[in-house]
Amino acid sequence: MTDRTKILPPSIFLTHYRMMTEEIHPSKLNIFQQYRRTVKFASTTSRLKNKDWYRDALALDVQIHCYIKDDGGASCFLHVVSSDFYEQIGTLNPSQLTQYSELEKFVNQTLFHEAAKRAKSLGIILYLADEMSIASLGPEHENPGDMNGLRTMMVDSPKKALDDKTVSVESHAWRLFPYAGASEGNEFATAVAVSRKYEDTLRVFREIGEDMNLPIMTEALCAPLCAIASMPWFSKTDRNGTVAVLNYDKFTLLAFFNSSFDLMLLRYMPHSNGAKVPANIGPAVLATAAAFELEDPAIQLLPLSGQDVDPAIISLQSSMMGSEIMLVDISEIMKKKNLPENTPLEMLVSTQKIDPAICPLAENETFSSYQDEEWHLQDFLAPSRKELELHPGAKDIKLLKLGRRAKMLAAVALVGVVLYSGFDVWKKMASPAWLHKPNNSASSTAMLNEKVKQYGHWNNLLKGRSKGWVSMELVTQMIPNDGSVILKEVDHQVTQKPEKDGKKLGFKKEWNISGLANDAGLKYLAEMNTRQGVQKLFSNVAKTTGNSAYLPSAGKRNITVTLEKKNNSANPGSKMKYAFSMVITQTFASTDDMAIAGIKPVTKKK
Amino acid sequence: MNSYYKKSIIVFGLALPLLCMVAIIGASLYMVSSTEKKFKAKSVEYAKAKAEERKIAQLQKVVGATGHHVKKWQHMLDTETRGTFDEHWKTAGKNFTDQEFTRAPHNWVNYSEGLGKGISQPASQVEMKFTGTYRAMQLALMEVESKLPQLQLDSLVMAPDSGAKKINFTTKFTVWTKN
Repeated sequence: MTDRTKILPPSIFLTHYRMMTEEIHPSKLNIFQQYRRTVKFASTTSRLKNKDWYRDALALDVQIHCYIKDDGGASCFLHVVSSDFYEQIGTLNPSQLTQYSELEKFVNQTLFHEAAKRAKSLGIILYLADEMSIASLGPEHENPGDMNGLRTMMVDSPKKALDDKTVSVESHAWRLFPYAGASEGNEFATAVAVSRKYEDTLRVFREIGEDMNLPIMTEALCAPLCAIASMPWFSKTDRNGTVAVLNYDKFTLLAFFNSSFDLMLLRYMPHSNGAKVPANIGPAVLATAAAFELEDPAIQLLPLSGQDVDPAIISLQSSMMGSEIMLVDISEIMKKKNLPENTPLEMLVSTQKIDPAICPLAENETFSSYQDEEWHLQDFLAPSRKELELHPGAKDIKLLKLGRRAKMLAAVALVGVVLYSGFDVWKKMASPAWLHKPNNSASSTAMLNEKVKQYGHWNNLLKGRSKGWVSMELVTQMIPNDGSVILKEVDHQVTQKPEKDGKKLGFKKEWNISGLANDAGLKYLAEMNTRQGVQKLFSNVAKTTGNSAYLPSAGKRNITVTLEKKNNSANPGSKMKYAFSMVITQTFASTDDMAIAGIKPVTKKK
Repeated sequence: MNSYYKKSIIVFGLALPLLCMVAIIGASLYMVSSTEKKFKAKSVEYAKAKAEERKIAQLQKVVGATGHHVKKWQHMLDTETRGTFDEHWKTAGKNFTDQEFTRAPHNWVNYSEGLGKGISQPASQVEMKFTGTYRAMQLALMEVESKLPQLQLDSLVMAPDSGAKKINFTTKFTVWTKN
């Protein structure tokens, strides 16, 4: 047993589990249960990461093409797109096609094939060549312009589109197929049906994919439509038109093309009584060609089930004597494409791109519409709407993924904001400003202020603004030592000198000095009677006594001096010929440092 | 095809978580904003407190530097009286002979008409007369005025003593007194 199979739980259990939990239609769930299912679905499967869950089978890298040509089962071919690999890998008999375990075994075997080892998904394409039928559209559908609406109607409610309202939609799947070459008044499209008997096989394949958590996408193609689409690979236009005879095991499909090789009509001819070709194929072709006014059209016979078609050739030769009948060598075509022997022709159109430069027919209306609108690749047995609705779709998963990315971004932003906020708040709360506990320092401040104020108050009052011994020193220094000046009287007065709006009280010091002097003394006093002389006197006093009140240029203060002299009339013969009186005035403005603070507030009388 | 899951994914997978995150982010930002607001207020308070602390420190420094002066002055004001004032003059006079320095009785008034007039601090005024030499008077004044800084000279009149070699001194002082 391989590693891959070892990790797989029993399939029956998984199927049962899935049925128990997920088979409830989402319309029966409330909105929260729907979301839970989506989340579970996204987390337990690879749908979020593997986009192949939502791709078509033919868009996947590893594909198994199963060709069902008759009741004998399916021939299977492995095709890996990336390596352009083709190989027939065996067959599935009818019994295997109905058993889960056999199909699971087949899938596992395929996945262990060397070419498919790295498969992250698997596309299973069924070519239904065992039976088909065609039917006309209802007469009410005569508008070729509404092809897309009609195509949808044919999938959703085929009975509305068909002329025959008794057809079964339960046992058969219906799809529209256009006639690009139809002339006005003729049918512009037909309805093609295949049996639904392989619907369960494809569903089981998808379930196996669910169980393995590996996208297994399925597609059921109508083999004859693919065969028609393959005609540009080996055909060319004929001015008389062309009839393609597609011979299968149980039926033959006639395709009538006009001179431009545009499809005009499909005609289904069953093989009766175990015959390999339909009876009277020649007359049938002749009659239909005549109806479309195709004279001696070229006839291409495609033995798609590999059977002997000689009876058909004989019948055609006898009825269409003027026509060129060509037997298409399918194995030669496949050989030219380097495809393995026995590879069905239909695989050509589903796995390879046609080059219009080599095959110009690919550009005509019919085949270009096949390439653009993939009429021949319509999935006849697509998963039902109910099955698709069970699980979240591609858009839901995309939305969920978008939501997760948005949440991731938002979470990053959230973490960033929370971290930033937390750090910011922590930083602030750990700061001294945050941790500071206010204390009432007002009383301390007031007390200290009071002390400072008290100091200022007394410091001001006790300044040496007016000292007797310093005043006497001034008088001493203004009298020369040589006896040339004799003092009679000194009157020193200190008086207040209030100023309007002054915060402090200015004052004035005045010295009225009288005495006698001789010539030398008078000269000395005259020198004193100058601004420089008196300022020098005050400076010397300040320097000698250390009393700053006598500094002449400090603060806001002013010094004036006047000297008056007259003859010594009291003692005319004396050496002291002169009597003098000198007035020295020193004023202190209210803004001077020596001004007296603490003026008593004036209370107005009422 | 109708999707039954789209609405639930939008609601529970996108809208609700994003709303929750937006709410948390909003709450975080509100918390930051609220904290910022408180922090600003606290910072202002803190700055004020720090300024107050600095102011107090400065005041304490000033008080520390000046306190002893205030204390000394306070003691002086508390202890000095008219009696002690007289003693200071007596002490100063002891350095001189009667010929050099003679002191007449002092005349006190309980208010000041000199420098203390109109000042809120109480003051007295004392008038003193001396007879003596110029040098003795100056030295005595220096001694007393140095001891008693509350003395502020209002006037000093010097005139020769009649018939002698002495000088008559008439002084008036404003004396600051305690409250």
